[in-house]
Amino acid sequence: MSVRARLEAGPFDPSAELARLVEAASNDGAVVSFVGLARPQSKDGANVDRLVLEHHPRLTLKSLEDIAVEAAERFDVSQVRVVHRCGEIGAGEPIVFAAAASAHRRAAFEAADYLMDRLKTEAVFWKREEGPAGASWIEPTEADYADRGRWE
Amino acid sequence: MGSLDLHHSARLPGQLAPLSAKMIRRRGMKIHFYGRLAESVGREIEVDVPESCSVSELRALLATEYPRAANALGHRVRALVGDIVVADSHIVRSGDSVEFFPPVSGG
Repeated sequence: MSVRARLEAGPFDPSAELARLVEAASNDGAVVSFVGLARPQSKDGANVDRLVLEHHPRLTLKSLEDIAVEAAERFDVSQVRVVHRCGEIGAGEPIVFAAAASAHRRAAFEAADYLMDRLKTEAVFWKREEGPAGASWIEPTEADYADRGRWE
Repeated sequence: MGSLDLHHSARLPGQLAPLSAKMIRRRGMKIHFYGRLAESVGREIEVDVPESCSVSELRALLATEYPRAANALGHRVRALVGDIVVADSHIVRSGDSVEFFPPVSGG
């Protein structure tokens, strides 16, 4: 079992993360990964230049680690990875990489889904979209909380 | 960084006498804000609070001083002391570092 969570202040390469995970999972049968990207438009259609993710000096990384560990405990997976950006993220850049490896595909799919539902509502970040029209704070939607509730 | 001096102005909701024993002032409580709360209040303020002040009383004090943040201090905003989420009934003490978290969101 290998569980790793990382907070990145600068850009990261999801394809390199996936390649490393596939290599580490050579004894498994499945790898499932998710990459979240900063959208170029807000929900109301306004252009977004960048996403700013504020983080907490102690609790943000801990929240990523806790979520990754709980995914590993809950599903029959051998590897869990979470890489999450903080700071300023340009539109189109990766925000998050969440992945799992397992002997059979179902556990890896579920673990990746679980990771993202938890990260959307519990990872300790405060998100702000900035664009020509100004800045606005982004908080979890009711749908995000409902998705999180599926695992309770 | 703002500051809040409540020596003469503070009266907690529901309290009639401003100078009861409970209202002995203590300095040195640092309060940290994040996200949209940091934008409207500041990242860190230092407040004088009454002895035996609960988190809900602290929210009320802050809402009085920062009306723009009044709504933001209530709905789904969690209070933390020593990196642990605490209930509104929790009593904050002199020297505590209190943090208010608006809803968090990753991904």
